[in-house]
Amino acid sequence: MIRLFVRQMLMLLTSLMILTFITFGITRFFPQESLNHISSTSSQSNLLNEYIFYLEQIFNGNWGISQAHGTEVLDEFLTFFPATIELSVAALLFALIVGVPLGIFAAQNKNTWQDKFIVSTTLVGYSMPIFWWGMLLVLLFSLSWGLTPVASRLGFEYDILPVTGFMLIDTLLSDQPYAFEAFYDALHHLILPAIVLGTVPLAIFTRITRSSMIRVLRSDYIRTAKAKGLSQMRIIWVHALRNAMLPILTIVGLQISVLITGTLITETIFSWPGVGKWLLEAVHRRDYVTLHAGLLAIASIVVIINMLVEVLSFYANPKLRHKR
Amino acid sequence: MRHQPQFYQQQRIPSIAQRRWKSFRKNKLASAALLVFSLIVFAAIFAPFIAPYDPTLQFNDLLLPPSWYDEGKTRFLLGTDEIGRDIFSRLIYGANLSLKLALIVVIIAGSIGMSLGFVAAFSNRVIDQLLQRLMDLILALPSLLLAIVIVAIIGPGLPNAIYAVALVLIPHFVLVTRSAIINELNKEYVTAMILDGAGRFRLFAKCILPNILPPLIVQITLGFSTAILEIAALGFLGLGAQAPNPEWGTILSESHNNIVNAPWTVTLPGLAIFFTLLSINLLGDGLRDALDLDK
Amino acid sequence: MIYFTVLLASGCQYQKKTDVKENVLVYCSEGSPQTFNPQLSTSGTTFDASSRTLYNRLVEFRQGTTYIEPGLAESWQISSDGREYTFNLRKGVKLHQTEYFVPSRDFNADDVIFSFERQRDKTHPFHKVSNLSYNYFESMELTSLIQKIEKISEYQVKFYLSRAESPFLATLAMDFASILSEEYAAELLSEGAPEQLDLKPVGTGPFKLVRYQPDAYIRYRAHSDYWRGKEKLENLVFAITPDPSLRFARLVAGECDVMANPLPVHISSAHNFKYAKVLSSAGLNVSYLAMNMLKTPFNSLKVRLALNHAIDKKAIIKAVYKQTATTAKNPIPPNMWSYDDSIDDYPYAPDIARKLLEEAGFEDGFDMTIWTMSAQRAYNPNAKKMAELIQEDLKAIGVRVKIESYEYGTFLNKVRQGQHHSALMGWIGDNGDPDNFFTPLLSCGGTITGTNASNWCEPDFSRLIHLARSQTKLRKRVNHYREAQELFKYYSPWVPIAHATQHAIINPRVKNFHIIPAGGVHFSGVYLDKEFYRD
Repeated sequence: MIRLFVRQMLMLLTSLMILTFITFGITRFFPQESLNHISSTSSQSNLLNEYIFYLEQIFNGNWGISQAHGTEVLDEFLTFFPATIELSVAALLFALIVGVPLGIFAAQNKNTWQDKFIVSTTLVGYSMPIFWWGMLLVLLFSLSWGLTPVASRLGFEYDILPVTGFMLIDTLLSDQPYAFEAFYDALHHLILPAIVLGTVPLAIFTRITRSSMIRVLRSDYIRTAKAKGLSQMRIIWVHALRNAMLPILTIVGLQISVLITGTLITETIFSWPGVGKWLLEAVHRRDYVTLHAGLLAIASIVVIINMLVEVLSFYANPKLRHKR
Repeated sequence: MRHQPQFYQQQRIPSIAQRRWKSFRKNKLASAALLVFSLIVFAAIFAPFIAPYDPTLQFNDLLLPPSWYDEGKTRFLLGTDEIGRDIFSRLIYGANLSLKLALIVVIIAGSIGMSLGFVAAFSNRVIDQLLQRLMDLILALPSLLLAIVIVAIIGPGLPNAIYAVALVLIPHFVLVTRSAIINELNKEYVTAMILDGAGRFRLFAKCILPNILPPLIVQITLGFSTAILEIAALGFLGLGAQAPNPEWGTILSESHNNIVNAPWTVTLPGLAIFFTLLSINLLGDGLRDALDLDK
Repeated sequence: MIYFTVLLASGCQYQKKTDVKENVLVYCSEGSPQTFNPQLSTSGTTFDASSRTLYNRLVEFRQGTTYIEPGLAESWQISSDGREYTFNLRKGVKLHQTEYFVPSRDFNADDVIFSFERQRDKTHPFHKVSNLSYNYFESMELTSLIQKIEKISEYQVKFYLSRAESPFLATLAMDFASILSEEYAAELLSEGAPEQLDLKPVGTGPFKLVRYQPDAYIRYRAHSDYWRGKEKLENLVFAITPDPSLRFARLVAGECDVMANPLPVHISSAHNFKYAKVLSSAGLNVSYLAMNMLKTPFNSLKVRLALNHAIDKKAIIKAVYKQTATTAKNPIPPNMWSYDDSIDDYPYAPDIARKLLEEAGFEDGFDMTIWTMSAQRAYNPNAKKMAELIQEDLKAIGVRVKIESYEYGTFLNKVRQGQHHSALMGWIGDNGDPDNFFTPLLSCGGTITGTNASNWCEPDFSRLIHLARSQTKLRKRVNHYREAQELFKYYSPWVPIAHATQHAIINPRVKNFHIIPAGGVHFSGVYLDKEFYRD
């Protein structure tokens, strides 16, 4: 157990190390004046010294001042990040809640027309350019039918104090008389962006669940269970699902980076004040300090989450857990 | 009752390629996708002959709806955009551009990625592990973010967007090539061949290459669709092809302004991207089944 | 097309069920302010969010006009030689009380002195704070114009000028002359955080800042002790929405009440929507292609003239402005006094242009770069599109154009540093005086501060402008400016393109909203019809 932990920590450290190499390498290409805070000023410094200085600055939290707003980029990142988490989690939940049952249903009815329909639909979802998909949904749901708001996280008439940065929590914490109404409004604002962002993961989850479920249903222990006369429902939800979910866990980890890619676009379309929109605006402003900080922060978070998922899937998988 | 001939019927054993083609043909969706994709490729190649107008030519009719609307003109099949350019022509030229760019990306990423994968598979553990970690890391980075940072450094524009997307695609090729080769190397017939005294080159050319081709072909199709999508995404975000280039993502981002008053300028280019991606992905899926990779 | 719009118009819009919305006006603005201190900026976006909402000036423009009326100064006397201005300040003006500052005194002469000395005195402790330059103050040449500012008493200040300057009062009504709090500045300085003065503002204006999230929103509340009387509008929110189509979508859906810089295409389709009402008025602006004369080949007069002949302005008016503009031939708009209509524009004639290029020695044309900004402005709804049209026009005379697009702030900074080859620029007059166009945009002084994007420095022209400014007789000023316009036409440092009509699209529930001829928005006096959503 401890060995595993140490091993994972080492892997994580090397990954983060390589990551700082990459970001350090990238900063070499930035215009000099934009990165004064992380490049050492001594004249006779070599590459190694500069790298060490860079690391020091990063660890001291000295990530620089954004060119556009004149505030600490690290602070800015922290103000925008909760919005991105909220959106990503909502999208992930949407994808899981719809995708997994769909995949199970398809697996149960393997090779029927329903199954084929679901599989082809997943390909449709998988092929969807989400920048277009987002605009299409806004056009239909918001502009034509008026069912959902057009953009942003909350109607501007609600004055909600940002405490945690998570709108759903902040609205409930607020002592305004309309707090609950604002919560409902925030939920309303979350629907379309979450669907848009969740579409590609939904397609992937459905496919993975289906193939994983088919594999499990073929295995001996399920046949035994069937032979014992257990009901189909019981077999699937109690016996098969647990094992079928293992690959999904791994995929969820891999989907994090897909989700972040998606947030860049989704947040732009829905004017969602998260990290993605923040970074894109930084690109248009040629704000290298913000870009560097955003890349480093997001990449570290993705690497760390991937590691956590790996550990988690290790604990969830009895085969691996009992090996040692 | 017919007379039975007194000799054995000659049995033609179909070649592997023929067998696979047969099994591919059985998949109706994939066959349809192949047809659609061929049409798109055809339109792309012969764009100058198919498109009625030059993609940057400006007419006096601005924001004309497609010809099947009352206000539409048959002269402009899919209508015109904000500054009076024929949307149909722009989309056809866009197909040419998008496919060409995706091809370039796949060639760059594929050749570099496969070579690296080859190196990883045949080199010692340390290099292999290091390469693996690096590729895992790049894979973990959000692809579009990486592309955006690269574009931010070297500046927006088509060539730069190509490099960025190619770089993002490389790891996939490395990992697929590496694992396919290692998979083969562990098989007994390879060991037998090594015992027979086959040299490295012979080993690779005669028995590994033919067997790793299927996963590589599937990866190439996947890479192709990813490339189209990412180039379009960069174009949409204003970081890829620049206007007046008829790149699909760029067209979409330009027409974004008219989403409320001229929705077809948004829906049509999106449909073009969508159908291209869908046909390639269906094709990839069909290939995977036909090549029997889903084990 | 009709099918779609009917579909859109008939849709029941997403709506709130409560009365929260009745007390909040949402303005969809085009970008984040650079700072909350109008002294440090020339951008209208910043002025909308700072000077026009948070601050007052000694004298102000009557709303919707360019007439001067008393502001923080109740009255003033001008000496007979026109070089001494004495202002009697208003008593009992309360400053904003916010979460970050509680004022202990009313507005007085110290605040006036502080606000001007910060910009004028290079040794002032606040002069270098925030690292931005005082572009307006410097390009209006106030550093040399104002010799001394004297505090005569708690409520009296005197300005000593180095020469008679007729537009001086109009200058003091401009955004950059806003009055900040000296007490707040002193408190911040003692806390060692002077830069907060420009980020967390305290003023005397109709609204005070509640919260700002960059690139997301700015939230204001009515200043309850405002000296003109508390605003009817309790809450004001700037929803920062750089994408124009998104702004329009939000307005159509009833999420915004006022939108910044609508596109021409929005104006023509607004009547299809229940929540959109168009207001329009003649604009006080110009948009133009500035050719950087410090770079080849724009140092050649023939090349500049060739470009003037080669660009089809009428096509631009049609495609970019959708006919909501008139072609420009002079640097000032036709509704500005002293506009010289007798000047003939260079006709659109590619063959003349080609001949001129040949004479200049560019038989094979040349390569040029046009910079555009990605944000649209009141004078230019789509700079990128305009650049594309120009690109096509210039292709016809063999000039190869590359277009580069930058975000607004970056664009301004880079142009100011003279990095551009040519750029699509524009200007909105902010005080109804022609000097406000000529001095910053075309004088030699403007080349130093960087507002003169062509870097055109013609001593004769600058002298004329100078003469006109120190002259108090209107007729003589008009003559000087007319002569200046002829010189401008002769040297052609720009290709003047268009004067845009100003438009605003508002929700019909917004009452008493006026377009400012000088551009931008002003919410003082605006109120909401509370019955509007109750049907």
